[in-house]
Amino acid sequence: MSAAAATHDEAHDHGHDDHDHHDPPFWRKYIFSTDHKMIGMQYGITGLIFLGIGFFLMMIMRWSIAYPGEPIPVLWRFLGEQWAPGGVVSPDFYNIGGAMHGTIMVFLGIVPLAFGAFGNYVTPLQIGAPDMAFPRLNMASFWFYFLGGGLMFASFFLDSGAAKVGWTNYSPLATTTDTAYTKWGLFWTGQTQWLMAMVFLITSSLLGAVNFISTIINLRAKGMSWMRMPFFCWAMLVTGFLLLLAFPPLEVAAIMQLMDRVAGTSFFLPTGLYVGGDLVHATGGGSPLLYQHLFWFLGHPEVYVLILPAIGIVAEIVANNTRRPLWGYKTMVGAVMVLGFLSFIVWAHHMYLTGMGSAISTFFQTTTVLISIPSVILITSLLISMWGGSIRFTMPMLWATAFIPMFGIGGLTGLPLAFNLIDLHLHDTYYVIGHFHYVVAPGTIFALFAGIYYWYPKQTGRQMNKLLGHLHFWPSLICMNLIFAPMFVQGMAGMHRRAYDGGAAYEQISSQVWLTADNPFTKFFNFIFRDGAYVDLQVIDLNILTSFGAWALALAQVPFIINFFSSVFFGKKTNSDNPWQGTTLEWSCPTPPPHGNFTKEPVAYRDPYEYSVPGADTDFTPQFEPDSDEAPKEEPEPEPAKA
Amino acid sequence: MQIPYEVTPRRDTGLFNAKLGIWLFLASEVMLFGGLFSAYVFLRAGVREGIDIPWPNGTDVHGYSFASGEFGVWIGFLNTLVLIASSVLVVMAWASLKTGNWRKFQLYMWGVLISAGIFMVNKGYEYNQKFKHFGVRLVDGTLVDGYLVHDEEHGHNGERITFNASTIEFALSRSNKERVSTYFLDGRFFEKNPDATITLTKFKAEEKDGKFGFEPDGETEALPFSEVEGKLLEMEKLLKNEAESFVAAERKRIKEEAAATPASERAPGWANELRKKIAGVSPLDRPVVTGTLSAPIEFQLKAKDIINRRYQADSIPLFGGNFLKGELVEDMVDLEVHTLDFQMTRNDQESMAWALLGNEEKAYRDGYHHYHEERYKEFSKWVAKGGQIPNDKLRLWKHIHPYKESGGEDPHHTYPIVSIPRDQIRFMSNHGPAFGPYFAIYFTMTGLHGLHVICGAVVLAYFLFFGKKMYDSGERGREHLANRVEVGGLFWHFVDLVWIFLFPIMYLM
Repeated sequence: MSAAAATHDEAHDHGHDDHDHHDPPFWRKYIFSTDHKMIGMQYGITGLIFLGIGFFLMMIMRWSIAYPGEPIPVLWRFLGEQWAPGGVVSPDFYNIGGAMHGTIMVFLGIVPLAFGAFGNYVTPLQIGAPDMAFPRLNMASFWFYFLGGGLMFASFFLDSGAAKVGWTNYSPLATTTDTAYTKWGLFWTGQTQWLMAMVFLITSSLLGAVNFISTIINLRAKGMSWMRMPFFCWAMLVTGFLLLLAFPPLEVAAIMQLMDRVAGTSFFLPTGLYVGGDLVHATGGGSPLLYQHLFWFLGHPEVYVLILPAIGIVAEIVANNTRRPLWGYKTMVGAVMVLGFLSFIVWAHHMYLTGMGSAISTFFQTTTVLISIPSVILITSLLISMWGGSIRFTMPMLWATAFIPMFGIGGLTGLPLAFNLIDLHLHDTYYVIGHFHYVVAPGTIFALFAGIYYWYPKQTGRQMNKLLGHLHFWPSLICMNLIFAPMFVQGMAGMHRRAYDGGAAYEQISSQVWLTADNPFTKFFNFIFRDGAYVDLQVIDLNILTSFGAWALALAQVPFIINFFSSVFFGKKTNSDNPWQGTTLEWSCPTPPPHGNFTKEPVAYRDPYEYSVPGADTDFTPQFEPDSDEAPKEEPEPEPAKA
Repeated sequence: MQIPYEVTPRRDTGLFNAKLGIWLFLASEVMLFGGLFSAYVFLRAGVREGIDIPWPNGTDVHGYSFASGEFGVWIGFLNTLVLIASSVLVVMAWASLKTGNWRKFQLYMWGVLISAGIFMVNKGYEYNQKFKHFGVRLVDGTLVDGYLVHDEEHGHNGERITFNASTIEFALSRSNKERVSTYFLDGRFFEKNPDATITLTKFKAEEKDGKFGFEPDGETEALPFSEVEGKLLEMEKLLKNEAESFVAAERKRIKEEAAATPASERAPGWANELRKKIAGVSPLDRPVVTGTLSAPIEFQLKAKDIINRRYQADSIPLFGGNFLKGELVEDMVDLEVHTLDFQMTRNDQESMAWALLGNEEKAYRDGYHHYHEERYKEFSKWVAKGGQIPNDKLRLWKHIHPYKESGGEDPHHTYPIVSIPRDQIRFMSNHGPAFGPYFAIYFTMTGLHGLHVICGAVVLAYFLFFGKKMYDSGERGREHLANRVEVGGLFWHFVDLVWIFLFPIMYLM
């Protein structure tokens, strides 16, 4: 093979050959696949399953919160006497539920879906690459994730149960929990396996990040200059850098905590630590604060890892459905980069209560407030893009439209938390849960649903069912708000986020009256949930509302699951490679895209969102449509490396 | 399908894919080791004088004197040179490929691999030295440092924990069966008493005042140990069945009772109450089975067998919820003392360590004073000028190496051997990661670095042993292999660079 084989032309000839003549065997095509689209779908389906598991855990917790001390229906049989003595969810299992809900949702659900699934499937198509830069690394990345996820899930079945000290795994509690085992027994506890699983997940993310950044920098098609790149790819590029640089410190923290647990070190154990009345057999001299610094150095950029791909997806869908170019595309690109940078210097706003000192708190308060500027730029640009447009409210657009105010609520409720004075009151209350979940649940997850509805026809050649889509969307939107809005009320009243019995044991706080019995809302609430009794609405009663919201949300996902699988066979055929009349490169390749993606060399002739160009025949002028007036921007032929 | 720019660089970025990839990967590696270096600074700067154990000087930990047999600093220095040399060699190997000289490539690459081997062997020697070294911190803070005295004859490993057990309590649970077998029946404890037997209490499930419980129900006949595990499992199964049938019957009764209530009489929340009642009938906790030994048996234990080292004069908790009951006969640590360190002792003259030395206490005290005077003399000129002795120097004087020189043609040192009762010990460990924050970060960082060396060497070895085919496949293949070696070499340089930071902070400072 000659050196010239690396040019585009030849590359795509090969792509064609592979597809047409020799299909790889089943296990290479569907299991150990190196094709970015298959890997993307593997990520997507695994991620959706974990999303379901995380949601399920939360529903168990919500029972225990809404009905403290009452046996949980049906499920107590499966939990058994260890986790539900007398049928009541035990405090230990409640803690496991909390810790694993967070871990599974963040590390096994959303990141794999947003970054792994959509990133993998869409990015190479949008930049016009035949695959990722390192296809085998991509496969390794997925399987590391699978291994980490499997280990995390398997840890439920250990004697000790899964990790149970919160998804943040703060030391020294995390180090000294479940130590009543032999040396090997200690290794096989949920708490230790959480760390092992995290090491795998982090490895997966690092390999993924290297791959994404390399792909975006080096494999852009001819004419795909930086400012012609769809915004989604920009979001993925910045997300890649966040993962690349933020995850290693968490890996450090995980390794150090692992050493603390199994090798007897004291990285995070202070001198003179007593547990259960016994002096811990360790030298001490470590620092619990160090763990928090390392954890949140990841933890905060991680939030943007969750949200940036979502904004990317929404930007694509908004431009497509308003039939207008994205307003302020360049500003958005700038904003997303500033956001990425700032996200590295805000982490300690999670730690105002640790007593770091007021100077440090002030610094982090300032940077945290600063980061709202680029966030608002992004959301405002999306809003202005929609302003005055003749919007097509297609299924993806509905989700994308809902994303904007939901994410807005999440973002704006974060502002008070940025100020350390207010945070002292709100820290670790339901307010924080409400804030964070507004960002991620009706925020990111809505964007992910939007993405699924949007790119579904690209893979299957069929549209998802519209009726089922509406049955999925509207109840989801209502339930999300039913779940998370009451949390702001509870949080401001001071209810702690991790109280086992839903706060029943902390009567002074939980029995505060929110609305009196005369209030129409209270009457309505009492009519539905309390047989019409004439009683005040205390903040703890909102737990019932929230819990019913959660269970209804679960039901609302049933139409989606049916739609997702049945539309493969029964969905309306699109009969076009470009059903949404989009402008970006992924709509130029066949449906579904073959191995190697493009049948002819993709070239980007123009900017990504040329919708409603004055004088054009149609209201969209795709990037891949050659324009006779304008010669394509030539990218010089690559030169062979000097020998 | 061919991925573009696998071999040739892209014009506008000037990079082929793998080179871009490795630089990105190295960026994440910088963050990884950056996190660890930050942790080092955080921990070292956070040491509180007099509260936390002091951060040792690298030179003191590793030693630099060939005469005393401790010369770890020199080994570290040698490793630095070896790694730097290997970094040069990997560049030479790459250049040889570029100029098309396979023989030279092989030669240089072998050099790289041998360097990696030397590095790891040195590392292994260093680790081994530390793992053998042992330190005991007494409750007054004094550190007694040296080597455990192994007693092969009695099977002691430096620790003597002798417990005279008369009964054993077994927890009955499904997950306990392997542990019973591991801790009691693998012959480790019982082989010396092949004739001893054990009698277990039997239980039966009983109902009392509407509650379920287990009542003792006689005893088994005396069983040889080999049959205990089987018997326990049998009991566990039996009790489980009994409990479950109790529960099932009771639940059935409640349901039937409820069904008898006419629908018109059912109050709101009736179903909820019923569910509560049904779930409230829970399976029972299995009781603890007491096994009485025919004759008391002496157990030789190790501290690590004992759950969280939480044991008392009459009971020893073992993993799996089992207990030995009886009498603790002796509980000592035998140590050959090489160093007494008083840095954390409030008053070095009244340290508990002196008493441990027994008859020879005075000689060692004299030695300690003598050592102090010697050190003081070294600084006296400086002090005479009005200068002050730095604090950390003063602190370091607070230790002695107690030994006697034996005469004869081949003089050597003999060190005192002391037996330390457990109640005088606050903490003990070998000089492994558990020995203090310095050792923790030392082992974590050098261990992680060692893993990097091994991984790098494996990758480079792959190019050396399996690269010929690619090399021979033509111009492009040769270029491809050179690129791979370049990428591997970049990683190798990074590994070298990490060591160049590690060496001073771990060995010198």
